[in-house]
Amino acid sequence: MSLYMSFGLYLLVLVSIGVVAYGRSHSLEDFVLAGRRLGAWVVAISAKASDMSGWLLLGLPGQAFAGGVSIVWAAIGCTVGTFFNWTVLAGRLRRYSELLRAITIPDFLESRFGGQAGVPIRIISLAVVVVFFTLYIAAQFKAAGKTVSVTFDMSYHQAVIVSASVIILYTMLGGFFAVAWTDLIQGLLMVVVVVILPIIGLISLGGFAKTADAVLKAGPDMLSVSGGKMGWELWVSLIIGNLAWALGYPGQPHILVRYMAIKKPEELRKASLISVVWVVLALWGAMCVGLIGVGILGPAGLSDPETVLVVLAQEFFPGWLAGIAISAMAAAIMSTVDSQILVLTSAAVEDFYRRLINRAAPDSLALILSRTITLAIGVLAIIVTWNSESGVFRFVQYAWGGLAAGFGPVLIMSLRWRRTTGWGAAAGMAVGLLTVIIWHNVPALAGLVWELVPAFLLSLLAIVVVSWLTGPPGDDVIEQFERSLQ
Amino acid sequence: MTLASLFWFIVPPLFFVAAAVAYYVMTGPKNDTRG
Repeated sequence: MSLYMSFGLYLLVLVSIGVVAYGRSHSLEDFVLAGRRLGAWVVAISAKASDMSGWLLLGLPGQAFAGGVSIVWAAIGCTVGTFFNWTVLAGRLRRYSELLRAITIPDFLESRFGGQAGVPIRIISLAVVVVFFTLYIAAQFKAAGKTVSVTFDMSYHQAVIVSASVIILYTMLGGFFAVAWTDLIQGLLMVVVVVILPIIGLISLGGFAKTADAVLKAGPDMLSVSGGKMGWELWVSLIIGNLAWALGYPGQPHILVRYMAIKKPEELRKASLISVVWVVLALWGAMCVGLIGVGILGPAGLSDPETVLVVLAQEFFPGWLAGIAISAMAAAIMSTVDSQILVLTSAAVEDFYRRLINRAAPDSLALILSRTITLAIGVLAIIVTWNSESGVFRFVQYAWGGLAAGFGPVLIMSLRWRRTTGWGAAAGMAVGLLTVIIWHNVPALAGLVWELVPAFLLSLLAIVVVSWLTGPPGDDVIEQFERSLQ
Repeated sequence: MTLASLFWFIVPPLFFVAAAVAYYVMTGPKNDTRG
């Protein structure tokens, strides 16, 4: 019973934040970017909580439980990506987007290049956002449905309705303020759980040496970062395949907009430190949950390795605290999907409606439209999720790759290379998008390497080649680029 | 042997935190040439 009360309380806190944030959202900039008024802690934790989905507390501990420490390459990839974003992109994006008065990523890209290439850039951006975020959001709702239904003895459909309704309600009411503040609470909850749980497990197993012996009983390679693999399997499948997650970071709009929302650009350096410490604690803590789990329960101790965190929480914590730990799993999913719904809403209202249909739309109308569209996206995602419980992480990987190739190279080049032209940017985005879709759907290619790697590289190449072929950008564009550096 | 093999599991997080602290210090007000 106390399990249900803890979870109920957690949901109540989220909705309350939505209600409070409702009073703060007076314009579209408030609703999709919190009026650029957030502090370093909120931005730092919100960026990471939005980034880390259910994979952090379900997938990653499960992979460590089943395969040992060799999954560390994925954690390294994610941390490298986090570090790259904060040090190379965040400050420039914050300054440049404010200079151009851009409140979304498609908006930024179109304004950055302007000219005739602006419209194709906006249309390709919209295509990337709509296709891949729809997949991503549906996958997250499925994950939420699965997690909540297994833990709280509900049907899958009841669980989807409960979790989706809460997410839609607070996002619709409070927009970016609500999403960022709930992310802060959810991010702290996630990290506390994955740090405390392995410490308790370590003590109960009798210290480091005894824990290592217990883990090794599950397999001789459990503590080897090579996982006992060699040659192609080691270097391409394990190391490059997992490090490639890093390439995805520059292209995730639901993470990137966090940098644009910070109050003062100078605060970004503090935020980057908080964010890197958070991600290190979260990723290595989550892997330790899996390792401690296999040490305590044995390799055959779980029918589904992804439930390792729930099982350990129920083993070590009293009911109410286990409820909080399980809420952290829902938090990991909810803090990602709310940010993604908001990106899709901003794409529909700002990038499509206000830019292509009704430029004169007042803020009051845009705000009503945003809330209606948030609700519509949520309902649509529930419908898409309704008849299928499978394929969660496969969808996530496809969507991550699509966003990475569509936005990553063009954002890096638009922020760091003044010679990038509008047509170079449009060509790069189109090449990235098409490569991901084709590579993913041709079995011979898909089996070779994750589509993200070739798509990212080809997109980068297309930007450079087409930019050189289409002449230098105009003086006004170069001047704006220079001003963004100041 | 068992704990030694964990070296490559433990080093990356320490490296990343050290790098983040170094970045924080290096980009501090005293080192900001933009003034």
